[in-house]
Amino acid sequence: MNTFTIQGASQKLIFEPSPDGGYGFALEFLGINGWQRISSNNPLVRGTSFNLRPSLLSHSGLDSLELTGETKVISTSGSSLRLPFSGRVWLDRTTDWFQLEVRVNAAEDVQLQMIGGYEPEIMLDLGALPPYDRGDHVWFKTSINNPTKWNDEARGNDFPALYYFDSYQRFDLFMFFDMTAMNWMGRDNIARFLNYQCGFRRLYKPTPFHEVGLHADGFSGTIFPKGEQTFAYSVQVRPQPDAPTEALALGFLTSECLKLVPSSASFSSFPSGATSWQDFAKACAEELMDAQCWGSNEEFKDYILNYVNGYSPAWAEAFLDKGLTIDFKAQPCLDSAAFIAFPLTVLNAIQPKAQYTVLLERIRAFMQQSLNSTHNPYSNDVGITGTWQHIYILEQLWMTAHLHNDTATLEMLNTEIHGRIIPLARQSAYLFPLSFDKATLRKHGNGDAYAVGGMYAYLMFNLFRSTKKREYLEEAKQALLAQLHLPVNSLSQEVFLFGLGIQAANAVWLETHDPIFKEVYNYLLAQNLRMMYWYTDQTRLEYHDYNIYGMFQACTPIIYPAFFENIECLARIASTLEHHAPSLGLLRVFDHARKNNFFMFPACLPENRHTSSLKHIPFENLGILEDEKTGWIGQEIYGCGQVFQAYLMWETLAHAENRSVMVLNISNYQALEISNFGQLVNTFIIFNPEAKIIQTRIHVNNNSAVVSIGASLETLKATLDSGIEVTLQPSQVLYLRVVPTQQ
Amino acid sequence: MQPKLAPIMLEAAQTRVELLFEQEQIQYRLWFLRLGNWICFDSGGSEFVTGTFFSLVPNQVDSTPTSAVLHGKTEYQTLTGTTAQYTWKLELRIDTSGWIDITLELDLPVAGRFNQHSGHEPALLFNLGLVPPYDRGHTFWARTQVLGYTRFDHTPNNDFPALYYRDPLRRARLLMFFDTAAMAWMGHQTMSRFRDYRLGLLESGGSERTQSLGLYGISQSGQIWAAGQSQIAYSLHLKDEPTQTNDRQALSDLTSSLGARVKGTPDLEYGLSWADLAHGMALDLQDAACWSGAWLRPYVNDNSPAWAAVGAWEGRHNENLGGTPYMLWFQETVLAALEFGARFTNLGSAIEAARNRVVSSSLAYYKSVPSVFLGYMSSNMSDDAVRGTWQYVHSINTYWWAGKILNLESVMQAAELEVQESLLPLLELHAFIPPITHSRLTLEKVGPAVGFSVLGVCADLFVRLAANAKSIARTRWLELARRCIRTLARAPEYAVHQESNHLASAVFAISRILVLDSENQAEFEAHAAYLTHQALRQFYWCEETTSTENHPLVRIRGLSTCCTPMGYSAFWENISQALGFASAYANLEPNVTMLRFLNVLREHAKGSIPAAVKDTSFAHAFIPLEDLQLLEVSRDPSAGQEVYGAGHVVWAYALFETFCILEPSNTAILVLCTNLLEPPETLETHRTFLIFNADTNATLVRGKFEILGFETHIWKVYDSSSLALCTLHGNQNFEFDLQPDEWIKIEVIGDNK
Repeated sequence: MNTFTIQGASQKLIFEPSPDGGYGFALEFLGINGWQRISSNNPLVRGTSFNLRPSLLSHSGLDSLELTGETKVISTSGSSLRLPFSGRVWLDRTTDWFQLEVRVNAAEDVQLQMIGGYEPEIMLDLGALPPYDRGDHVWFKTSINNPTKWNDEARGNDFPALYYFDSYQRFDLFMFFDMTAMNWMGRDNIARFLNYQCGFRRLYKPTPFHEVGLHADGFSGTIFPKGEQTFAYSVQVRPQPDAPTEALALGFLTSECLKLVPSSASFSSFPSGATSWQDFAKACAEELMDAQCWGSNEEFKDYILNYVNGYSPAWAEAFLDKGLTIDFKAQPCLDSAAFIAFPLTVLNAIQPKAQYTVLLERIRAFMQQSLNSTHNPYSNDVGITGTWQHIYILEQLWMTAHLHNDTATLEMLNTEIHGRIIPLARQSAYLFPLSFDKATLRKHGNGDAYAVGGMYAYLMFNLFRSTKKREYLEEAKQALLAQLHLPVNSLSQEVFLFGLGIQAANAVWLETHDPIFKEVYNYLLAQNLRMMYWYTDQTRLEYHDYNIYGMFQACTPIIYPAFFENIECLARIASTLEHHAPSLGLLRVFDHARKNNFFMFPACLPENRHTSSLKHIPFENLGILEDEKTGWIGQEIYGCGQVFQAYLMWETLAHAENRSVMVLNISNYQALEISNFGQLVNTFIIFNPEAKIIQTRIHVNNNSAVVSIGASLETLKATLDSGIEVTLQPSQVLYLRVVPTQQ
Repeated sequence: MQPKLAPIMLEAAQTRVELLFEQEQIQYRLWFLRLGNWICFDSGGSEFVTGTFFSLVPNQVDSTPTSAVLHGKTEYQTLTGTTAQYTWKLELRIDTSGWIDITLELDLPVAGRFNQHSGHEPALLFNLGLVPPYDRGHTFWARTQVLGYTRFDHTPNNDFPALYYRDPLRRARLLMFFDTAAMAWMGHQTMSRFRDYRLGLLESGGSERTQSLGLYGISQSGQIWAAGQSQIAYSLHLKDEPTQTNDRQALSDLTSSLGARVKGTPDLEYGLSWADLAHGMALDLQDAACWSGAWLRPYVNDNSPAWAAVGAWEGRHNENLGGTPYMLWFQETVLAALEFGARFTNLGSAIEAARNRVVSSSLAYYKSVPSVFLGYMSSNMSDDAVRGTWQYVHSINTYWWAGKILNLESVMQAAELEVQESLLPLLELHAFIPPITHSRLTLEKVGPAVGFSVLGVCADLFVRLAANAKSIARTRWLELARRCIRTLARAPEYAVHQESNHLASAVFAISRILVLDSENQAEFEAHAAYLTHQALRQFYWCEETTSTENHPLVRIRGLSTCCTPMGYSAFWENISQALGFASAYANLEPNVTMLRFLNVLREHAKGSIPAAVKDTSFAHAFIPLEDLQLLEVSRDPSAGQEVYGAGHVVWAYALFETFCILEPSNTAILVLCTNLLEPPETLETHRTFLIFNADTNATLVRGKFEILGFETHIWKVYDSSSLALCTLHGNQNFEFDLQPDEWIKIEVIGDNK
């Protein structure tokens, strides 16, 4: 039997005859001593039923192999069953990833055996564990395992990828698993991330060896579906002379995986009914005035709710399970007011409209009354509070108050900041707990929310911007450094906290020019992207109604995408891109999100999913294999601020006539005072996500500005018109800068 | 078909266990008492053992109100594929404190093969029923869970086989303890303990997800259950817990509840005393096998099969460790101990000679490189070398201490300069979250992971500098020490462990922070208690019984793991840990579970010394072995005989035996000298002790203090409950009663005229 090799510049994938029959594949990289083998005799898929080793291979090009084979399995009826398979393995030289795709086709459902382990798994055998593994190897290997997990227990369902650095042979190994293609996963077999994880594993049978890949630590059922099913994954190996920190390694991994982000032109599309973010912002503002979003009682004549009609079946069930009931309609929600008021203030300042003004006044009136009442969370020392909620509400209130020059509120908030928030940070060594006792500032309950440090840093930096007092800058620096050095798997919780940390790291880097904060920026960006959905869920027919690619897991391990978090992450990342040129993959992420986030609205979902007449107030969640019920948490009034934020990010100040072209505002979050908005310079990225040339016209919503456009910020050329004709090559990026003429 | 039996309810100490016979095999449910009402903790029965091999249908049931014994026979498949039957006996008992002890005894006529179609078995899981609605949005955040075994970078160690779980819906907490000593069947043919097993919550099921809690396999080393008798044993404790707990409270509850069950006395007595061992060590240490030119070797004859294997794996062979200080802290660690031994013990000329050789070697080095600390830790290191952070901090600490005890101001100043110019920038660069390794040149982190526990050593060093400094500098050093402790205390509950003696250093540092400045006393006492509970996780709570490969005289129980997740016990770390906690207890209230462990360690730690276990295969039988291996690392080559840890034989002698001699009948009484780490001039006239009764009975403690060169003694005795002061007169024998678990502190002040 021959061997079949695909060779890249510094890596090889070799199919060789296997002692177990058929072919197995090996991996090699070009190290300082020539080609070094890291793994041998791997089947394409592993398991008692699934040791898929092809029997026939042929080159279909220099970088590509076609393969076929057949194995025997047991059907669910107990009979022996043929399992033919075919596939393709190729090297994508534009990304340096080996791609492996195998299709199996069983005539009947397959009875999974789960003997001696679980199946199917996709693993690369790295051979015997080094001697004195726990005395030496364990300290020097660098591995990034996924998905994220919180408090060292329940896992999320986000990043289907892994990284492993071998300190002896000195190589980087990357794997990415295409969960979109592997839609056979389900509760009848392996329920994706309820059972699987990606990463390093030691095994003892009993000889110790190690491997990396997609492996299960349990199963949900034992039936693998009949018909054509796909296994698809990507592998890359490269020499790595220096041991990377996990922060660097996570950056490597997300950078390499961003190369795999598909073009949104082929993968995502605007849902039917998704007219524009402008329309949705306007409709959302109008619907927020509806009685279904408000309540009243003796204390408050008019208060905003958290969910439309206070309807949240998930929370109702949860309370019922405790023998309690919950009536969200009876509960004024300061959170909603705070989260909406800030972006709405910005939007109304840039583009005043009656709908926005009226809504903003109503919300601010409630907010003011709430802060003057016993409901003010900052007016007393009593009780336990969630840390991120406590600080985030404060941060949003502070931003709104600052924009409106509301000195009374600012004074009240400053008292809280100096009396409680900064002491909490210092007493906690900038390692924030999940919740704390307001009186003692001591941790309450279990677990931590270390990513609060990034948000704290952003709040401190804005205080520094506002007051020029360097003590705030020092606080921001301390908090950010802690983010960089905490254990790599201890940060993930509420996902958008990374967004504020990213902004803080960028701001501190620009202020201090200390490269470590650039490192913090890159790291937190990688952590944020780690919590993205790098797939869309095709495992059940009902999930085909929407596309979650480019959305974010709301919170590790809450395991669903949520609108508020989706936009809050991206808008904050976007605001830093003027100083950090985005990769093609990251721009594609923004473009997927621009389209797919419309699926969060009832207006873009089938009628049988509607839970109210308000179709432009987003659902908190979309159903997904690991957590199945769309809209079950409710329509999130508190998340509506992000509808305005999405509009600000993608359309408010500039947009393309051809909707396929994305115009991304990368200058949001600039102003601390409303009076400044008219003088702000705004910068945009214009991106053609399509595989074809597009000619379009860019409209800038400012009649008195100098508009420049160019391939980079350094090559901007002035043009005179506010409507600009552009011709964009496939995947081309242009930068657009709008300078008000008053300046 | 057996007729179904009616349920049986056992009850004691506000706990009920209900035995159910309705299912295919026997199940149990747990109940707890809340305000006079019995509340069922689970929503369905749990199997005693999960696994198809363990189908338990009893044919005989005997019960009392607090216990039950069930017998049965179960069919299984033999290795040849035939069917056989094993007999079993399941015993269940609730003790007066509410602990439920479950023991299943199996007796197989021939070996059997597992059927693994439904996962890895056996698993010991308590069934919590359906996952609550919106669990991850709601109940998930309110539950409290601590898994006992320590982890580094998610690799579990093999130490504390227990867990804590508080359920937010049922508002009760369940403790589980897995008696790995009884479960001697674990091994390479079955489940290799914590190579294969994990602790915690396990979700399973398809559309309807269920949760269970306990010990479950994620892999399986083998499938063969050996013929003969074997046991599966674990314990549960359930109680009402109406308010949410945090991880500190949980850990305290777990270690305290189980600590009360720890046997506080050794399982065997070695024939040799620490004095014998220290004397033998001092002789061995003078042999050429321990020296490479002017320097102590790290291992006897530089022989470390484990490191040699690593070198071979990496393509390096015969790395020359000799001729220069491989790591000077190795030698300084020995130096400090020998200096103490020579000044304060009557070990005689052997210790004097060893001390003189080590001191003169070190003095020569200090003289030749008095201020080049950056080039000091290892002369093998180039400027851009990567160095281990804890080793680095430890080296500054031992260097400073060597200067202190040898009265070399220049050495102390060089160490302090190193702290100012390198260690503090290193800590600040990393926000006081130390990397495992860093670049010597840039101080930046290199490679993976975090070593929080080294903050304990940093704090220890900063407190030393504070104690030696004037007021303003003292305040600064203390503030730095507090920052270290606060950061360590806020590290993830599951990520604080690495080198096991570091937490003892942290607690010792706290004790002195509070002596120097009592600011935030309650906060730091709470940190000390928490870090002590964390340290207890790194002890071996169960004896290693899975193999006879270890010397039959070696006992693991009561020793600490060397370093998470290295999976073995090591001499230097054990004695360092004992020294640290004993020293902390001069000023802090001791933890009784820790005292029990220290009393066991007092004897079991001798098992690291070949002479103590009558192993004649070692030419230098008084130099301790680095590793006492356990199942998880039993096929690794040995790390070698640790010359660097040899001095700790003297410290063990000083700690347990030197100054206070008890009557031979007081075998269960622990005496700790608690101020051995004071400067020598203080030790000349002032010594403090803690005496603890580890026996289960009240004991009359009798003994005397051996204080060299003292003319008069004034004894101040602190009663553990009142801390009231009283005075004993004279130099005669003392005697007093100690209740079980009672301790007293004694301060001896000498008038050395």
